[in-house]
Amino acid sequence: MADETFYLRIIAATGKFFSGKVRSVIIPQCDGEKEVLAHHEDMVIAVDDGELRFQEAGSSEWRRAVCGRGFIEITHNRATILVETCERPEDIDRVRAQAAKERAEEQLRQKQSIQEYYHSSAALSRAMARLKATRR
Amino acid sequence: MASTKEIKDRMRSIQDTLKITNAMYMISSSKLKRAKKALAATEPYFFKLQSEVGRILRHVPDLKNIYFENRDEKEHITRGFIVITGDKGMAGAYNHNVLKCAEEKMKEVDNYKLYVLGELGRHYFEKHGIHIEEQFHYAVQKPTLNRARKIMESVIQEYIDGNLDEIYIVFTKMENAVTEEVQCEKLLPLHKSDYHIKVPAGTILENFKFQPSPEEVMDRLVPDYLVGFIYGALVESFSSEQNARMLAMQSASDSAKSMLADLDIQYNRARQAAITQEITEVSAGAKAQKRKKRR
Repeated sequence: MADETFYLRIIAATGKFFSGKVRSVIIPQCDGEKEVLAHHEDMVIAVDDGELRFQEAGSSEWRRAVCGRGFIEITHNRATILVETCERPEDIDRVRAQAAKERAEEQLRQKQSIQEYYHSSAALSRAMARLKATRR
Repeated sequence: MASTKEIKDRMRSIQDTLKITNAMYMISSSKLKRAKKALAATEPYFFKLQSEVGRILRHVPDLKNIYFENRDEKEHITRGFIVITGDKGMAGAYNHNVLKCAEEKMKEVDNYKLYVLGELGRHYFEKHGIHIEEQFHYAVQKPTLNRARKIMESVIQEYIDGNLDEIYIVFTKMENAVTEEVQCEKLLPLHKSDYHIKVPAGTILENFKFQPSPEEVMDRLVPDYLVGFIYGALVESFSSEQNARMLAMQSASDSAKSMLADLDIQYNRARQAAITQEITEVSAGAKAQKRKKRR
């Protein structure tokens, strides 16, 4: 059972990130994380900003990626993750993420409209997710 | 016939223009290469997102969600149009086609709000005294997700507040290297009937489960879908613009070259005529002198 695999595709708006057989994938969700294994029930789950992990077939190593918001759809033992962005931790520019975090925090301190508030808090959570993934 | 100097001046000015059109051709072809790369990278996401949303819509029971509301019963619906034009002209009929399509669609309803991208569109609507609700700068030259997100946020807020009942986007889609087509697509509200997916009779539809809940998933999915759609439309429009400019500049360069060839012939003829005339004059003068001497 532990060796059973399923087909996973990760598509970001900036390009295809991954496609292939995996044993397991763990996605960030609004209230924690969720692991998807082979023969999962058909489902659509909202994916939050955060760290995504998956284990390729025949390997026990976890591959990590930082993803933006989106969703995962599971049908017939195939999973598709559609997210805005998806990057490998080593591709992330820490300085830029740090600057984005500070900018978002500054904006949050100011009085702003609801729309701007959502914009800056989303920007902040993206920056935090990036920073968290590169800290290790 | 024009004098040789006039023709020479004309040729020089055409040559100068040719240099410009040639340079613009080169610039837009290199930009097109970049745009095509971005387009190829985005297309899987763009298409998959559309088909996925269609598929999910087919499977979910009728949701009570703001994004699916039908506001047809309202007497005067307000439509929002996101119009994507270029920042610069000299791209053949590219901008013209977009504006024509937008104007046609605007005639269909009494109330509309315009969200204009691109300098040319802004100039056009301002000149015609049409009110622009909001304009977005720089977005057409370098499509980024961030810009798409900003555009989405401002239209979706209007939609949620009830100031907009329907949202459309007018952009140019690249069919292939030579043809491009202006498209007007409805972004909101979403309707099942808008996704023409044929389901053969007798297929058992999978039943999706949604987590946390169908409403929650839709609340997150729809804005993402819009961002993806707008970004895709921006990238498509950008490549179409570069492609249109490239073709326009190529034909301009071609016609400049053929004009130069024509003028070259004219110039040679004029020069020849001048030489012939000079010879005639000299020989006539010499003859007259000879006759004088003989007397």
